[in-house]
Amino acid sequence: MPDLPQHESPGQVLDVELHILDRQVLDRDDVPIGHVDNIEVDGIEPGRELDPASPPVVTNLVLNSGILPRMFGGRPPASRLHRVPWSAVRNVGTAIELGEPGASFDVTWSERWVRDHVIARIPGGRHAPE
Amino acid sequence: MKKYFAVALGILTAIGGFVDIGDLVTNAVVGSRFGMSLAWVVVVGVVGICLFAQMSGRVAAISGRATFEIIRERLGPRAGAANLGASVLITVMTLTAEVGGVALALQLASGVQPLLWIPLAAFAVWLVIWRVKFSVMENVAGLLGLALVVFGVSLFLLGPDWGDLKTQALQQTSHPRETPLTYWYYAIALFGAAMTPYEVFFFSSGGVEEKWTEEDLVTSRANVLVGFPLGGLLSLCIAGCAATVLLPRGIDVDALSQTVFPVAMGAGQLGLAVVILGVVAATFGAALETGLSAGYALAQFNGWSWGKFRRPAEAARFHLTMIICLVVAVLVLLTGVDPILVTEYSVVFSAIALPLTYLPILVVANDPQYVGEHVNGRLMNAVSTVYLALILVAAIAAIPLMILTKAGA
Amino acid sequence: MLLNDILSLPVVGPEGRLGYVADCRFAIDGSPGPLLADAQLVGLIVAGKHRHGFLGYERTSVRSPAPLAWWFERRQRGSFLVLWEDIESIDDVVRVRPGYTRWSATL
Repeated sequence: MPDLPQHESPGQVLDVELHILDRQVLDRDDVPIGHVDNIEVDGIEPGRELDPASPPVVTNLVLNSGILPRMFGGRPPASRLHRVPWSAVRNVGTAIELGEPGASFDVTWSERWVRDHVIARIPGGRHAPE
Repeated sequence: MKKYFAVALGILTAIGGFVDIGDLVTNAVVGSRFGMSLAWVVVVGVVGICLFAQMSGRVAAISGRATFEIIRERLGPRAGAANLGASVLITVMTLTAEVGGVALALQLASGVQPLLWIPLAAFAVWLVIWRVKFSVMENVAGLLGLALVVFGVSLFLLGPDWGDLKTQALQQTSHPRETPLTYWYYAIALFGAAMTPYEVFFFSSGGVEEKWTEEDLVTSRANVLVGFPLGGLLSLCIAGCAATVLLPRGIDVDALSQTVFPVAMGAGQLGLAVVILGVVAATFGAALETGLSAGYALAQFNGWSWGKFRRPAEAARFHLTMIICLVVAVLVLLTGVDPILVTEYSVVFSAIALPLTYLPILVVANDPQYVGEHVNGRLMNAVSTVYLALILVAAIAAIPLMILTKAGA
Repeated sequence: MLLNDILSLPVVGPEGRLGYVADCRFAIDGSPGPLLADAQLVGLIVAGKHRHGFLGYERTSVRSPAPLAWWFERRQRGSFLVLWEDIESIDDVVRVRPGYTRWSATL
């Protein structure tokens, strides 16, 4: 529709489905820690009239919270919502880069569990390949 | 000097790494049943894998994003997960076939039962994945795989009627024993053998492993554009050997020994020794690639830490995935299933799964956010759009043809 | 509130159903944070029939390969952006205020 007016926003413009959902999230050291599965915003109260002057802002990215709810609808249990606060985000590009190490987010618990209980126990697991 | 060396090494490993159990078996089967009449499919397949690898390599070098990260990002959870399921299934099937191929080749060399070789081969694959540096692994496997050039030498020594092979290649008629349906079924199998998705997962992830940048694009392009076609030529030599020796004798290929039989005829005991070395190296190398590819696909889709440039403990779930895949492959093989049969199915399934992998890469190779100024040119887009159509047709036709021909029987 | 609950909700205007929420547009232009400014909602992208899956062809800069661009453009024809101030309420449906403006959805 070329006849519609074009809206200009200051700052980087992001379409959630296009630029944020399913993007790779990297920690401070460029280590992948997960994908964005959902986004949490504040400022929307269901059913209430919305305030035109205060648009919702992103509070958290929700990472690796189960692919099934996204495929078939429904919502994962609250305990599985691995949140990363927006304040930790450093850059949004072809990947979402964070300013903190991955270990500070609970989304990496399974990585740490597999490391401590399986991989690090196999001889050579802690050494770089030669 | 060092730069030329790198290019030469890259090309050699691309040739040696091009042929895997799928190419070995499918080309020999096709040569023994259809002569050279399907040679054109190898050419079409090689052009396709060049396009595909070139695009995914470019995206990986410039954006640092490997293929399955892009599949997840562009296709979203539903189509992405469907693709992941299909890709991992096919990759593990191919891994099974490759490990089986190593065992069969070692059986040819030693006379010892493959059942004993299977766990050993799988353990060796794991050990290399666990401990050996990416570049060393790739170069050694690729260079040893070059031993397969003996197929070309044998073809010359066999002294076939070149005019006859050429007529077969140009006429594209199926052999009188075959129906047009089996002809087209094997066309798709051959296409799938040349354009296996795992090669692209491996190639693009390898680019990230070796930390390619914009400057490496020239090298990577040379490797692909020279190495893969020469690998394709090697595939044609395998088919040519089969067409010269097996077709007139009415021998059907259902074991690895028949694939290498023409080499023994053409180049004698020495040739046989070399070709067995080549088959071991090629299947072992491909087992490494498929094992890693299964890990790459799952880790990238889920956003886990991955890569051989990290210590195993820093990519724990990635390494655990590969261990599980290898265990699955061994368990499947220990049931006594024929690796050759697994191979024949895996190449057709590869053709079926291809569109969902190819489409996102084609789209992203046009997206300046990912590749900056290095977006596809007009010619590249024209050719890759034709290939998109081709890949779709092959994928849609594969299952009906598989049912109608009873899998090419 | 989780945004996936909003994506693909039906959108209703004063004159009836307008379509579905295809995407949410944000801009990083809110109050400054430690690393980036807050990401504020600009508005919702409303699409007619197809709710998602444009593979990135929403953007004007990507026009190739031509057959794909043509196909996805056709699919998203009729989609538009509704700004936040034109949205009245969000529950099971998104209600748009009377006198709202349709903005171009392209980036």
